[in-house]
Amino acid sequence: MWSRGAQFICWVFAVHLIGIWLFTRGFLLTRLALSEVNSCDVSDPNCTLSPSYKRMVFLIIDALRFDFISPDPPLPSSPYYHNVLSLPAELTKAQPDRSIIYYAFPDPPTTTLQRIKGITTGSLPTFVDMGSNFGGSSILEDSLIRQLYEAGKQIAFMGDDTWMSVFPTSFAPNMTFPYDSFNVEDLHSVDEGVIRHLLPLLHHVGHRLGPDHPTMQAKLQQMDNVLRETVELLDDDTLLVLLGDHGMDRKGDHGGDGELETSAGLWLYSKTRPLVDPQADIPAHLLTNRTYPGASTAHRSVQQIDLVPSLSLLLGLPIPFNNLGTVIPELFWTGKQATSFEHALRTNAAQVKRYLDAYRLSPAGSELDSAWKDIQSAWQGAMEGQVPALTMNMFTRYALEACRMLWAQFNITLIGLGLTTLLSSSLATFAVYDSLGRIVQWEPWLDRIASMTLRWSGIGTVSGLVVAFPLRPYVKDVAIFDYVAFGAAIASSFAVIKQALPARRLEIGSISSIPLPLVLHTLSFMSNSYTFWEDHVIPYLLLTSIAPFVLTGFTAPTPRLRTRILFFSSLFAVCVRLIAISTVCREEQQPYCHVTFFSGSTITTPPGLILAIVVPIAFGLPSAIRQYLKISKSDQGLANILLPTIFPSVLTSSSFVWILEWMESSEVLGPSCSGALRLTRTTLAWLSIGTILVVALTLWWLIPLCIKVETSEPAANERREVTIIGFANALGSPYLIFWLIFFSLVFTTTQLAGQVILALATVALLSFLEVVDSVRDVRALNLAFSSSKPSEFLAQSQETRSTLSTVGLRFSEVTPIALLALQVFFGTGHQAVISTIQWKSAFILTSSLTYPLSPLLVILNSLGPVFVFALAVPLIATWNTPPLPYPPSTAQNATLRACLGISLYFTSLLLGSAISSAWLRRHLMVWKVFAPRFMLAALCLVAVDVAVIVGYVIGFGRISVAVGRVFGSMPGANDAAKARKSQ
Amino acid sequence: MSPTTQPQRSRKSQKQSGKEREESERPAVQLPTAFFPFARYTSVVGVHTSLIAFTALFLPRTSLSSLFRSSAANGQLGKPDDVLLTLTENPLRTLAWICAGSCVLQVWWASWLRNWALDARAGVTEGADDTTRRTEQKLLREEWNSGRFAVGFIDIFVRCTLMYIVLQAFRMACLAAVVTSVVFSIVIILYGAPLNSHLLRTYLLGLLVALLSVFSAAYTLGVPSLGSDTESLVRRLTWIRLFAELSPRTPVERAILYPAIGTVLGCWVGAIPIGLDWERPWQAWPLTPAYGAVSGYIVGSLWALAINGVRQLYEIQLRENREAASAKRSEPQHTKKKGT
Repeated sequence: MWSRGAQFICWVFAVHLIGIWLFTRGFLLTRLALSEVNSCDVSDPNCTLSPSYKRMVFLIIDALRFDFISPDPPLPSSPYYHNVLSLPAELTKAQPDRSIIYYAFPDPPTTTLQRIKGITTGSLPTFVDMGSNFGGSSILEDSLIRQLYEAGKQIAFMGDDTWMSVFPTSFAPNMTFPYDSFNVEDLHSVDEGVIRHLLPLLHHVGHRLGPDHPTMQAKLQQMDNVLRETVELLDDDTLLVLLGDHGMDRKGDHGGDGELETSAGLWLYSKTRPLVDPQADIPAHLLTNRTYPGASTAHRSVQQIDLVPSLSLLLGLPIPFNNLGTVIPELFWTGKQATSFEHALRTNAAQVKRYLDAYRLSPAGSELDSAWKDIQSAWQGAMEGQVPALTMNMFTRYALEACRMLWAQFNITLIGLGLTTLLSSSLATFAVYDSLGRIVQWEPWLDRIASMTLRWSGIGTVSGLVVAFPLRPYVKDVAIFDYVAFGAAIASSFAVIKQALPARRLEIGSISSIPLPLVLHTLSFMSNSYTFWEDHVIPYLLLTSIAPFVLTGFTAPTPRLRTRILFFSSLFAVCVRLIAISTVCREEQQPYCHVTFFSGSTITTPPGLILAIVVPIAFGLPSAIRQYLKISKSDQGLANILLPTIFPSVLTSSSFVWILEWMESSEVLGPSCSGALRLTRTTLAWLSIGTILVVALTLWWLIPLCIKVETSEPAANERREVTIIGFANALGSPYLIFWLIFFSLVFTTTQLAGQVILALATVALLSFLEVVDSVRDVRALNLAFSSSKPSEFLAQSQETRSTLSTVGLRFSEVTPIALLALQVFFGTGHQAVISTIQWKSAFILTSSLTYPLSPLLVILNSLGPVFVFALAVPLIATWNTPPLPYPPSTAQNATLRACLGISLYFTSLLLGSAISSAWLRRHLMVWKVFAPRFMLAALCLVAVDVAVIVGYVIGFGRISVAVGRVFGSMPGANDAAKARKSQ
Repeated sequence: MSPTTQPQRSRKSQKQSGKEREESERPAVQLPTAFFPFARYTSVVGVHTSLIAFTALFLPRTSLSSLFRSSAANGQLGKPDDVLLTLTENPLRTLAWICAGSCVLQVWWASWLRNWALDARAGVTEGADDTTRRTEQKLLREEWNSGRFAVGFIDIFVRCTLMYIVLQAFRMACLAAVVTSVVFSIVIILYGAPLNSHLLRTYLLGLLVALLSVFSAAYTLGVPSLGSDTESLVRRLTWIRLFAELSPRTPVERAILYPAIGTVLGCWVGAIPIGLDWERPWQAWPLTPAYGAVSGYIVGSLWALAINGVRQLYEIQLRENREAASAKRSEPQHTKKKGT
């Protein structure tokens, strides 16, 4: 079963993995969120300082850029937002000891959720904070809020409900007033709610109108008034903190790391008690300054996360465990003595060191490898330094820089290497795909290619090593392994490209050969709109991709072929449209989207329709499949055993698993039954999965063929006649059964509505196979008619016929399968966002989380649709392809090309999404839209590659062996086949 | 001299310069036997596409529309934004206007095409008695068109028959347009148009596409049927060759096919901008596909005109070359003969 083709597919997979690995390491910054809490004793002097304030009013104005409150706004100043919110500047001028304005630097990504994390934990949140709560968004790290809560303080909250999702339990319930923030069209409801309870938000005005707008002025004016009232009401023990969580760019957007987006305002005010000592003799190197773009003078600037240790110590709380900020000197420095500041800084530095040590010991500790030596020596310096204020400050700043390097900066080199690898691998795959369609003696040729990939991978590995050592000091954060992997991938890719494209000019002539759906699909990832509307884009492209088949159908020379093509294309189109109805909307699609996919969390009660039809559909699907097999009379052998009995029972019980799940969670029968329901559905799920894996798979392995051999009694003077029923589809039908085994696995892990979608998609798939088969017949017939001697043409052997481009596999036949795979992914209640992962599926086999079963089930549920429909792609090559002459070289060639074709499709999608997210890495939407789509594309490609390997090596491999056993030994098999074909 | 050879003669004699040739086309146009009425074709396409553009951009903003306008939107007329506002505030009304306008225009265009097709068919068919019969028919039709009536029982009978045939063709074309409009609506829904809302808008889009692409074809070529007689078989094969194989052979077929392809492609492309999150009023369903279809139609019409014109010039050139070559060939022959 292992063949040269398999070796080449595995090479493609390996190169894809290398490309994904390199790109991901450069682009997808990850950080391990440690859940430790700083629980030191407050009375311990090394834990914290004695509190200076008892209470704090912490006002966050979303997107309050520094220049909105700056006393020295840039010129020319804007009438809409400069000097409007003027209270901070006024008070700072009048009472310099009680009021101070900072120019704060919020770390990118400047998205709201990440900034909330940053402001409260003092850490550098990345897009993906790996931790125990991958799915939820609540902050389990130590935070200012948590320390306040632990210290027994009451926290009142009013404002954006994002805060409620990250701190679900910390706020005092009777003093909490969350408002929905998502609707940016609505400029006032959050603000009015907050003003009613306290304070407003600029954010929405900015998003909708940009800063240069009268509404902005009105909003800032309104807030200035609110601030004045707040200051009026402030008492002596209360510290007022006003800050913007991030800035905004000129269009009012934020999310990236542009200069204006990382310019936030910060104002601290204490009504009566002195906050800072204007006479304090602070060394200049502790005070950093930064000039706002266009402003005349530099202004005192701080890191936004410096607020976390400073406020903790001012309130007498332990500093949150994950903090990387450094205390702000002015707040602790009085006169010439720095004792209080040194104390604060020592506490701060010890906490940072503690955090780094803990991170070093964590599973992700190796991230710190490159910086660890310098961190250690900085810590040594801090301990032994003569001027502690200086050395300890240096240590904390160094630690912040080192971590920022790890967690907050894209590694352009790795991104480039990853993209190069992916691009060259897809070119190599295309070159081989294309050559296989032209070269008649393809087997020895592929042998050469396969051995070449091995040899050149070796050469690439060595040269990667050789290049790595001199380059290492100049290129940051590229490990030896990266050089080696890149070298191997790129060297073998170029070798393949060179071999497979022997100075042949690409024929640009035929426009129809450009895969338009693929081009459009790939390009669509450049736009955030099309990326989040992808579930609507795909049916459009899918229908477009079968339009040429329909046109060919009209030209069919016989009415039977015409009817078949038109009927099955219509059935395909209707199924696709019905699948497209089912969706879980992502939030960007609102308000134009209605959730129709039933899953406990989206729609609580299943539509009666789904409940009513799911069991009949699950039961009837195998008979429908049988009808399709009957067309080629291949409903024999194994199909006759499995389709009437095993598959209906398995699929039906899978549906019952989910019906029981719904009954249990919605307590239709009352709470008392839940134990029994749980037991029943676990048993049913185990039964169906066990039956598939044990019974069906074993039977398939032993007797894969769906044929029936009839031997007639020889009459006198006649040779014995052997009739093989199901001969025409002898390769396709066993593969369909093989495919159904995996389909049933995915079917079991899919929720009720998804099961209906999967059934529809199966009908669509089989219809498409019939269409492809008929269209090939049409092409062959047309060719025969147009050739001068039709009889001569028909007499040609199958082998030479397939190399003619008219009847061979075309990329346009692979495209609909690839699109259908994604369509089913969206139809089964998934989207390219993390929040649509259906965690429920983890528990169908066990009632509690079990490794590795539960993650496996979730993966099957999420990527299963893509996997299964990629697994179906060899069917295009094998459907209705007779197995003779043996060995089935033509079918093998077509299968290999189909596998490479779908892999190419998904590589192209990955390239599109990777390039767009790398290119738009400073875009507002990068972490909400582009990066998740890239992750999905990477996972899909892996799923497709695995499916293709499984399908080609195991599925097709086993079938060709079995076919060989039956037909290969037949005397004169080739002649018989030829005779049959020419009939 | 048979009338079919007449245009060729006239061309042959007056083929010195482009200007002269155009002048020579003009008298040929007036003759009913004109095979390729270049000048008239150009002017009709020009007028037709301009009127189609007018229908799409101005007709929905006429005074009749303001009757249906909401009172809130009144009083803001005159600003450039209003052009977009009137076109987009009620997509259904806009679509209805475009459909109504193109309905009228397509009837005119299709009848012109039909005449051309009949002329062309008569022109290319040869054979003595057949030709005379067709010439008679053509003369009759021309008279009919120009309003002059010949008196006589046979004339009236022929005219009635002709009128019956025309009416029958018109009826069938209308039927074809209505049926295909439903088919197009279903296809549009399959492509992703809403299933349970905006159905009338979707239907109007289907109707527009059907009017622009199918109506003139159905009126000119006849509606294909599943009959097994020769005529319906030929007709069916013509439709398949045109709309499935996309291979037109005559100028008339190009004038039918290219706008139809343009309409469908334009409608398809027009669906793309809807996905953008720009929240503009013109993104309302189905304005962009409708305008895409109209633009595609106009582009297709002009493209057909260009291709037909170029091919015509090419053919003339080819014929001239051939004639020149044959003339040359015959000359030396003469001298040779003289020499011998």
